[in-house]
Amino acid sequence: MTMLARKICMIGDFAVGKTSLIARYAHNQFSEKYQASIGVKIDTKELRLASGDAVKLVLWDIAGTDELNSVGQNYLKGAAGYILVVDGTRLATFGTAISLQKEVERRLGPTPFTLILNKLDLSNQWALNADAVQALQARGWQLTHCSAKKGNGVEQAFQLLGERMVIGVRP
Amino acid sequence: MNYAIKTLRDYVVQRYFNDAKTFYLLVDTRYRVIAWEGPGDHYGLDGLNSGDDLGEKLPFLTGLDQDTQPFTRLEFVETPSGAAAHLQIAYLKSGWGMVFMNATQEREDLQRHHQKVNERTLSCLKQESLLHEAQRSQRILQERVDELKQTNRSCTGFVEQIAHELRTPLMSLLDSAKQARAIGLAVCEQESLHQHLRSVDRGSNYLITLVDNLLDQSRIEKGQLYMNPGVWHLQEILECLDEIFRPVVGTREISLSWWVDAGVPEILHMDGMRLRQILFNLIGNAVKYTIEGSITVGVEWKDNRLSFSVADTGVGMDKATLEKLFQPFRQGPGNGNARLGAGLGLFISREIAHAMGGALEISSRLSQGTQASFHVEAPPRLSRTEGRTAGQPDSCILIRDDDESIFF
Repeated sequence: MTMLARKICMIGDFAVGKTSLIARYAHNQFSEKYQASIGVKIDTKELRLASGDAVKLVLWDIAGTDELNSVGQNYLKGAAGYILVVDGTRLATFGTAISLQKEVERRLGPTPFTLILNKLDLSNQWALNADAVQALQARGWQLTHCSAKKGNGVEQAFQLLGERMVIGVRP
Repeated sequence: MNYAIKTLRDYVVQRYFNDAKTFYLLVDTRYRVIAWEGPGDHYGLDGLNSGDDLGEKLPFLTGLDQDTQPFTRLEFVETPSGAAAHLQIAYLKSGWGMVFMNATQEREDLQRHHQKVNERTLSCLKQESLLHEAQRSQRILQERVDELKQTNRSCTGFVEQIAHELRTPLMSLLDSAKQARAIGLAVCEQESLHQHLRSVDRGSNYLITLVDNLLDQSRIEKGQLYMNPGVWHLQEILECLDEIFRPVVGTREISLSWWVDAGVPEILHMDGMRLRQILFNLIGNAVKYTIEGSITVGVEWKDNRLSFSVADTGVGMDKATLEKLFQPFRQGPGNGNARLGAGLGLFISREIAHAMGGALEISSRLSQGTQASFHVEAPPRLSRTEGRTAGQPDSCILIRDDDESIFF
């Protein structure tokens, strides 16, 4: 029996940790060295849902950007969900994520997503305004604090989105 | 063709298109191979057979069946071999048609460029963040400094007020002690009475000096240490000081000697009271820290500059003590039996020397004595009749108070 497959796109500004989150989630690895991504790299990971069913997540690690051009929009085609990634130590990446979410929604229509506030291990350099974060939560956004370096919250974020995609809840 | 255009074309063709490694692949709706042509091994798609399931190897097809567009172009897709490809994907009724074009070199070039740009941007952001942090720390520090300055101003004001309050009754006490001593000498020869009165006299003098130093320190803090220059006989000032200190050194094994250069003018224009205050502090310190040996006061004059040196053979100081010597309220080294005072004398003396257009410095070696040197601006006056009477300031003020206890 063929396993259900679902495409997830990682979206966010450059150097927010999209590649590192996938490396942590799919391979339980982390590298301190920053490597700029070009185009797209695709990984897969089997996710066991709370129902007991399995789903294959096809993870699209899309090169960081602060806006989606026509090529970037093509990467989104067929996505069942997406993860917005923010670097908690760079306030600007938070605004970028909000703006990208609008563009993605315009392109894909209502689609499940979650927002990861990454680099929790650098909490002493945290730059995000707690009020702004709470305002997004009040709008129903699902936010997860993560550290790709330490692994905190990473599994939960993907699990959460996987469940939402399968039962079709948004965001 | 334009030479530059041709060069550009040749470069791009050679770098990116000569090695295009174009690969064509047809799969059905279940990702099973129908047909292929080209170097599939470059993309990790070698050894293909019709009917092979490529679902695992071509994950980028997931979800594309829901796309309404007949063609999709995906750039820089990482293929199973790790090579990068530009992909043209056509959605056909029977499945998918794909064209792979090699983009590995192009991706490497682009990656290098993006890496450099992104790292530079991150570095700038880091610097900006550090700058903000430094500015924030500076703001906090400045606020703290302002608070401390305000506290210091309040303390200075309080000390000044207390000193003022103390000075008036102390002066009255000192005067009364002097008068009582004068009367006592005339009517009574009992030595114990005279000793008591001398003790009151010394104590009052010490307290007055202390209070005056506190007041001067407050004036310096507020930038209100003003000079009152007049016409002065230097010799009178030196004799007055000798009268004060001669009895003190006489009780110990200390010789006090004065050396005045022949070129020192007899009458000078300066604030004689303040000059006397500096010398009193310096000689007082020399006396305080010299158990035995000598104290020598030297005086020279040249080009309107009056210079002094006060050298002793006392206990001296180490470097650490010397460095902090001019800080207010900092005591010098103890000599075991001397009264140390408030630690203001040298600080005030240096400020007075500055205010008189000069400077004061001290050199010392532990156990080998100390030398204090200072100079002030002091132009000569030819005679007593020029301007004012010697020993008088340029101006005077009338003080009136209803409290008769302050008349002295």
